[in-house]
Amino acid sequence: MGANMAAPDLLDPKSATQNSKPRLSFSTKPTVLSSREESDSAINVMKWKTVSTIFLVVVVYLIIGATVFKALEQPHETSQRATIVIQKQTFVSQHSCVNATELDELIQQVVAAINAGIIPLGNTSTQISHWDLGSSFFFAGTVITTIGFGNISPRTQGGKIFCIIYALLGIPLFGFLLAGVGDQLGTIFGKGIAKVEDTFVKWNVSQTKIRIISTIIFILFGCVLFVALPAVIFKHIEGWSTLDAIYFVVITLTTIGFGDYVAGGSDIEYLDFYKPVVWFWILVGLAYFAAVLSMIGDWLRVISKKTKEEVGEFRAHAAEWTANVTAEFKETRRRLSVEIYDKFQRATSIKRKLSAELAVNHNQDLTPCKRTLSVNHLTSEKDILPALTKTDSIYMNGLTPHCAAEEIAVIENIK
Amino acid sequence: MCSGKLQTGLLVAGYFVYLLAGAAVFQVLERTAEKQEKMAAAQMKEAFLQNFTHLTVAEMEQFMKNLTEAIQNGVYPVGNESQIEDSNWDFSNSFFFAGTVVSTIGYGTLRPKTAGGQIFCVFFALFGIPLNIVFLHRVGKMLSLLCKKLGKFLHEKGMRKKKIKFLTLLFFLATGILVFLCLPSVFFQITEGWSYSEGIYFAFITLSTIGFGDYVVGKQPGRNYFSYYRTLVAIWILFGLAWIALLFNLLTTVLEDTEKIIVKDLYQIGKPPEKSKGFVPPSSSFVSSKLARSKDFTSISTHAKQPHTPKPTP
Repeated sequence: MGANMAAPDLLDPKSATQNSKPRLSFSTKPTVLSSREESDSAINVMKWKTVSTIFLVVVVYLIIGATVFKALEQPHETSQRATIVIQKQTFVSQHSCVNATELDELIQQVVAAINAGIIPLGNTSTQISHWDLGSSFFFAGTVITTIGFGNISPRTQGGKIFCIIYALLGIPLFGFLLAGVGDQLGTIFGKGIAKVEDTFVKWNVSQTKIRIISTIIFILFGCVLFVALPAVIFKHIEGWSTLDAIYFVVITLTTIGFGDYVAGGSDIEYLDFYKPVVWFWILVGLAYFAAVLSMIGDWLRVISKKTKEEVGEFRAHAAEWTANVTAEFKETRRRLSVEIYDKFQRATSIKRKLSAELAVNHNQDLTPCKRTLSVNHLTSEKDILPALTKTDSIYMNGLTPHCAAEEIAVIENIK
Repeated sequence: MCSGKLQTGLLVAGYFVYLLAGAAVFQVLERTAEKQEKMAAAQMKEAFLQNFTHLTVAEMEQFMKNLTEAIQNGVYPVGNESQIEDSNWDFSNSFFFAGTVVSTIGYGTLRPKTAGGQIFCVFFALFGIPLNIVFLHRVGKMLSLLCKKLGKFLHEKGMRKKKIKFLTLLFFLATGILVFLCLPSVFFQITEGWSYSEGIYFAFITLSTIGFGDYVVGKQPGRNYFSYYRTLVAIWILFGLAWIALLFNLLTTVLEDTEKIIVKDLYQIGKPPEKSKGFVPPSSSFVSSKLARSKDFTSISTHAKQPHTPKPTP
């Protein structure tokens, strides 16, 4: 039953992908680009276009990242490689009894052990197990939050199968919880920011400024609470440098989770409530980061929309400009023709005065009518050009055949 | 408001129970294997020391420490200096790393060690992840459009609505599992030499973005991979991520539905006399309270995206 009920959501594109992550929206609403009335093929083409554009942007972004990481990391790595080779050589030279191939064998085994999560230092059997209840709990947490540090991972067949099923149910469950936490967090933040907004409203600050300020407050406050404060705590407890601590915080809360730094992962004696507090921090911090990330995503969407609009606006401007030019051109033409027409009118009126007795009554009312007609009609250029070239038929300029006929009749009458 | 608190409490309780149960199961499954590994490591060291009596324990420890550090830094110190040439941070590897950052997989086999790299990584992730989400959103739309088309096609054939829903769901699951989990596993069996179950495990851990890093594509020393191997894998990851996000979305709505039913039942148990009042369904107040809550912040709202519209109760 549940599956059937959920089916429409699967088909609803809006709910796809950003599953249950709390969303923060400051003034920017996610944009719906296409209306449903459009035909399917048109939508398809548009979607393919947008998808390929975004795909390109992502690839370019990745390439930039790759280049920078390469430039930053490769020298360090090369030096590391060089030192270990030198260390190996000195070890072999110092201990003449050690065979180079046998040393390689040992190293291979060490590599396997480290990949299996065992660090072969000191007395290995006395090391704390990775799979006591506390650590297992930690591991289960890294699975369903999708952080996946990887310092602990299942090695047995059963463990792997269970891990898949566990994650399949646990990740949605956690997403659900995260949504709930985000909701509560949003309530608290919303109340606080609403108060701040109220004070700003009293000072007559414009709406957009208020939005920007409240966004900045949200980010700053969150940064202090979820990044800076934990970083300081980790720095003291784990003995990391400031950068390491901040790096760990961001890598964890974005759920990347490299596993090079893990809170509570070393052999230091920790306080009893340390790990639960870390867990609570991760839960709330994830909600905060999800909100921040979705906010940045919204910004990106707005930017893409704006660029689209700007391109459209530019086109519109160009069209407007040409329209203006043609309109002006037409306007001058019209004014010119109107002037000529007026002169002609004056002339006719003089003639009319001269032959007042012969004049028909209705031609007096006709004048304003003709005026408007000529103005209206002159907007199409085709009619103007031949009219202006033919001086003898200038009076027909812009008149409907009916009016023109009347006019001709009038003139003939005058004659 | 009461139902809201009840809901949160239920959620947190369920979450912790789930975590504890998982912890217990993993502990049972993994502990013995780990012990064996530890024993093996100790034995290996002892055997080495016994073979070469000139070595002292302290020297051995020092050497092991150096070795461990090197391995943890991603250096594989077997063989001779020729290894220096193939870098972990050449362009294709860096690209792969950037991909694992942006998709939040984070295998951790490659990780920045320099201060500059770490700082850049933080900002790279901060803007790359939303970008990736926007992209996945689009791809997810495309995938769901396919399902829609199938639904239309079936509708034209004159099927009932429920049957259509079921069939599209089945189609979505079956093709997804086949294309994104089963076929890649076969592929990895050939290219990486893993067993089939290992391939499935890797595919799932990758696509769910957990990314332990115990299995990573194209990382085995001394194995030859064809040139566009990594690129192919990257494409699989991109589309697979969108698919699995849809899958999790689906499961989330299922969970939400069951949770709603549970809350409704609890609510009914708590207030039995309300029922006699008339036709007002007990969950309607729950729904309306939720709506009111989300309406509280119109200008600034951190509301959880609720993909499921509340279903009117019978």
